[in-house]
Amino acid sequence: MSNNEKNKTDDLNWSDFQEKYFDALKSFNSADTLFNNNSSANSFWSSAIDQWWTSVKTGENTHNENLFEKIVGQSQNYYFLGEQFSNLINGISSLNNKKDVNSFINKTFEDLQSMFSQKSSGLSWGSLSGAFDMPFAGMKNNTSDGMFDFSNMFDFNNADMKAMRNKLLSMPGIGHSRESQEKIQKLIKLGAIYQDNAIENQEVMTQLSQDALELMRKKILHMNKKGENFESMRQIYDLWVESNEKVYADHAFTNEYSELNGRLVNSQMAFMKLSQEVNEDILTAMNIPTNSTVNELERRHYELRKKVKELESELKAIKEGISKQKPTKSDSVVKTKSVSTTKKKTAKKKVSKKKIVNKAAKATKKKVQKKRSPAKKDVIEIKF
Amino acid sequence: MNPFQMTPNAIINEIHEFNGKLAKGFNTLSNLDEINVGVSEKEAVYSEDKLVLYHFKARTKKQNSVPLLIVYALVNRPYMADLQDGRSMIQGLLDEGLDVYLIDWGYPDSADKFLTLDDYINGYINQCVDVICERHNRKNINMLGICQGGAFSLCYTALHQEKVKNLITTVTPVDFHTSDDLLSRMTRNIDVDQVVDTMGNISGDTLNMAFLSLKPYSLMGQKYVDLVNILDDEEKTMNFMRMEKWIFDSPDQAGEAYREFIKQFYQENGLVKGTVKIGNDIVDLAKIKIPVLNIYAMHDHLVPPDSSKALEGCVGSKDYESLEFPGGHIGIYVSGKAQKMIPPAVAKWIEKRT
Repeated sequence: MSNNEKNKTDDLNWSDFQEKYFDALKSFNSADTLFNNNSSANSFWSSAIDQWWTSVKTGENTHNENLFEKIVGQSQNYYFLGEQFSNLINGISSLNNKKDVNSFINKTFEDLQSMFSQKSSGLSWGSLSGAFDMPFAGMKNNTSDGMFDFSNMFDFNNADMKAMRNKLLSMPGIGHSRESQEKIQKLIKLGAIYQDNAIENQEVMTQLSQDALELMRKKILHMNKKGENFESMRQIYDLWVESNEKVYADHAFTNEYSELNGRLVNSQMAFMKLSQEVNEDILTAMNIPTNSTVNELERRHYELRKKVKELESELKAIKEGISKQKPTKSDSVVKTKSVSTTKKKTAKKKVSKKKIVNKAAKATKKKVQKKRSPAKKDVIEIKF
Repeated sequence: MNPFQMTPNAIINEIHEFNGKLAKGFNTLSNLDEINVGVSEKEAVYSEDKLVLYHFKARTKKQNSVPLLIVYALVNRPYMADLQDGRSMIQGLLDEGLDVYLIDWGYPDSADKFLTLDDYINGYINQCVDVICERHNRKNINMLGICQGGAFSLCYTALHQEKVKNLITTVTPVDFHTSDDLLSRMTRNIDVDQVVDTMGNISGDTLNMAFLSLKPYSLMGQKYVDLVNILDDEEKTMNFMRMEKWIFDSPDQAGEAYREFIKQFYQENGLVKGTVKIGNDIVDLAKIKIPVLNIYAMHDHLVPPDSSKALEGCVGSKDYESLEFPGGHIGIYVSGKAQKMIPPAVAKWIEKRT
């Protein structure tokens, strides 16, 4: 293309392209094409926005990109529900006997629940709630930050890993490296316990997604009975959110869930703690400073800092005490009048000033002790 | 009957409209200016380690003679109380003639992991109180605690009552074992010793996930669908972004202080049982005899109203008042309703007791 030739896209700015992309989608997307889709999470709109986001995401700054990632993720859920309910509405409209509406709704929800229970559908509690992670789940990645890569521990389908785990766990430690062998065995055991808890948690969440769909179905049927209806896709989405929150909250308040959450976090921490130890053993053998080394330094630093603060506080109080005991203006007038006193008198004065300073120091030290720990002072008084 | 009174094409149009907003929104977000927070003019008057004590510039000719110290929580950042012009509790308090100070805890790092509640309460807070007393040549000040900062204020007052003239607590957890406290339930079976021994400091992200997991579908999903609908309005988008910035601007928690707080407050419910130990001292709320104003939010999902209301039965003060705000945990600081209600009520209550 010569320099004089103008590119057809030159007049469009980058953001116009984004809008045109969605306009283009609109032009070849109709109810007919939509309803020919089978029920799948990877449906037309979800795929379209996924492609769009993949093409634009590198052009944004990190903060906005993170936010948009969340928006896009949630939009995909919105589209997914839109598509499922479009199919439902289309199905209802084609019914010959309008009395079959409820049965058709029931059938649609059965299909949806079945989709949620299949791992291959790509639908999960986590993905539909906006990439929700457990509070400590982010730490999962930290476990592979060290020298060993423990990430395979979390691959539930890794048959090789399971076979290796069983073999290792059945072998007794021998020789001079017996202790480290046993540590590794214990680590694998802890990894397996964490894995079991993670699977249990995932299963609970999947079940909750299905329970939420069941609740939503009941609510829709109840609305139908009362003659209430939906007028927008957004209302359907909001009902889906409401149902999920209700089911989740009901379960989260049970002791059963609190215990599972505790088991999950505790097993993860136990696994991480021992991984740290195993890594530290290797680093220590190579005379490389470890986390424990830094911890110890930080602890000593903290204690020193605390001591310095106490001393500063005491010093301040002493200075204040001294300044309070300094001679007043009238005292200094008297002092000037008796300037011609003997050296002996001056020496005596110095001694008495020293006494005053010591007295002030003692008084302020007591004051500081009182300020820092009144309880301690009470104990001292009782002893006296 | 068919409960779906719309055609499939209507759904398609609704989704196309949504797509259009999304595309335009991408443009709006790309062009947004820097998100500014913390609007009121202030100066740092004292600092120690990561802590900075701020003094806000007066907005009235005459101020109440007793300075007010705001003690914020260790979780999230204190600019929530001064988010933007017209949505700032601090601005409201200044407009009511109060002389306001605020503790900003900063961002603790690995070097702070051994800080205990004793360091925070008998150390930092006490030091700030002394600094303010010295600046104003007074023996005591007024104190306003926010959320966890409210719990700290209660502990501080119980231990150093002579330095607090009046105490105001806002959305402050007191009874950590009320039946509707999900956060408390979720921490009940966690081995916090193991968590802190393993992690050192507790990351802000971890806390965020814990808070968001209380209402995951609304807070991590629906909220962003709602956002698409306001993306064509730059001002509304900016307001959303300010909140978003605040929510995810979470300092890490000093490990030891976190250990003590979760164990003594959440797991043992020590504040109402009178078993919380700060340094060498047991916190006995019954020792609090000074006037107390307890403000809580009716729809608070983080600190249930009953948790805050329990304070009445714990403090020994004969001058106890409570104020219910018809909103949530955050709304009490940033909503338009709160601006009209909270600062005037606080100022009036203090005025009566000055």
